[in-house]
Amino acid sequence: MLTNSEAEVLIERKGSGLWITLNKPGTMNALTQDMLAGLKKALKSAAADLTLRTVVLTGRGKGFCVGADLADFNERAKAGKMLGFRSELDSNFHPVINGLRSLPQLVINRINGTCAGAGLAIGLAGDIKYAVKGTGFVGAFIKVGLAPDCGSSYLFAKALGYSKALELFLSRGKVAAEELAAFGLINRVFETSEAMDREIAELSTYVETLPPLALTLTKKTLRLAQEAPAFEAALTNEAAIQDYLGQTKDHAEGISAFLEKRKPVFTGN
Amino acid sequence: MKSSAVIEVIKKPPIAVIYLNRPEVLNALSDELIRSLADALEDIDRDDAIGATVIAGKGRAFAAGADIKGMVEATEEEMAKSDRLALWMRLWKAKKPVIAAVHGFVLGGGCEMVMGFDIIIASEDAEFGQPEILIGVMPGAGGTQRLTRAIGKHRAMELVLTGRRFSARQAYEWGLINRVVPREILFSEAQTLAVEIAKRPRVAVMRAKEAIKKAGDSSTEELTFERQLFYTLFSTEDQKEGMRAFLEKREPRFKGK
Repeated sequence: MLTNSEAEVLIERKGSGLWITLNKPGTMNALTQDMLAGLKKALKSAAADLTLRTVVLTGRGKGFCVGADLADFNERAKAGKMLGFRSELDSNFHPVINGLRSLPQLVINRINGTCAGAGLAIGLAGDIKYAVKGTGFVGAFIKVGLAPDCGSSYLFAKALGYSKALELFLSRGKVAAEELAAFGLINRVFETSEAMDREIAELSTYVETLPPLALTLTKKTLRLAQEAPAFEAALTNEAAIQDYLGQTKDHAEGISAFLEKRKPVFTGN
Repeated sequence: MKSSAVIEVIKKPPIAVIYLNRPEVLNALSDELIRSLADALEDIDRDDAIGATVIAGKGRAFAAGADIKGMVEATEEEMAKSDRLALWMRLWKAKKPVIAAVHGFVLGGGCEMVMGFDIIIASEDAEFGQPEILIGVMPGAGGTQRLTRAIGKHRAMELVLTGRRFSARQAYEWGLINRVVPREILFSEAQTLAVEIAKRPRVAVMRAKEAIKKAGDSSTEELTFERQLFYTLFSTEDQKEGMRAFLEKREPRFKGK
């Protein structure tokens, strides 16, 4: 019998690679508690496995990941099990983001479909990012009365610049993978998922020929050059803002409207 | 100097390397460990072949803190009588430079220990903190004194009163540590620095260390003041509840007395 975590996050060894697949296609892989726990566990064991050379992160179905599962959140909130956003982010989301960013292996994000909310950050947290043509990226946070989190504020402001990033987070529509590729947030956009998979196979084979330690430290030195310690400051600021917004009436209204499939009425409170 | 089980001492002239070696308990700082470490550092001070020491932790953490089991049921008088501060002071009286190379948890006594050493290099995964408040007490081995000197009153206040942890990068930003390096190069970075210092004129190095400590380290009087306040907490119900809850892995119920 699979636990929920095991069923919602599939782990498969393919040669020197580990494929981690988000497996809740019915909800476009919205992140539940179980899923986050499964991801955290998978990343922890991958980090310790020196025979692994690549980690591929992908999702099953039409979406890659559309962020936090609002129904799951709502249920936990009703049961009094929500810790407040700062704690939720610190204990459940940030370990996944930081886990992806600190893996010694080459992390390939195989973006098979829509990324939204926290899914934006998870979808783009890897080292090499591939997507299929037309894949959409949606801010989404603002629609439920929240602001960007999981490092997405940093990631997009840095790559797109303030105004373009703001446009994405205003969530009027989708930003296409091609556009993000032009800003360097995505490495390549493929015509078909078959073409994407052929490239992942080739890249994985190439990585096998590289010296592992030099690869790990090449990654680390680039990350340090680019972002330390601004990324951490972004996580802290995001969590503080989200903690505040998470307690507003508009956030509660946003969640209710989403779950009841109606238009929200926001009041600014 | 032999290695005892709780620490491992390796002499590679001109430097010595000491590992905290209780990985099964994240190098919790028992009296035995502190005593062994103090013995080793005093031995190194007497050894002409050695000019500097690197201290690191075996396993997943540098040190996750003091041995709570050894003090949970102690009374204020018993704590005062045991005078553990004198034991810890021996660590910080080492004459030759001590470089801490830390990774993973550097919490409570672990953080206090390295703040009393001379140079701190951390790997990017290191997490610092003075979480004593969460178990009903306060830092008692320099945490309120040295942290405040290093990062300022207001930041120290927030960290000690909330018990929140802070990252290596944050510690670097605030000036608590010398630098942050990838985990893979932590040890070699500390070792290279130790060798460089060990090659400098020994007497001048020791005098310079003494002089810098006079300018920037906490005095015995300050550490003793903190320690006295720490002891008084062992007559509170919250100390008993906090430490028992910690050992029983449950949430504490504090009463404020």
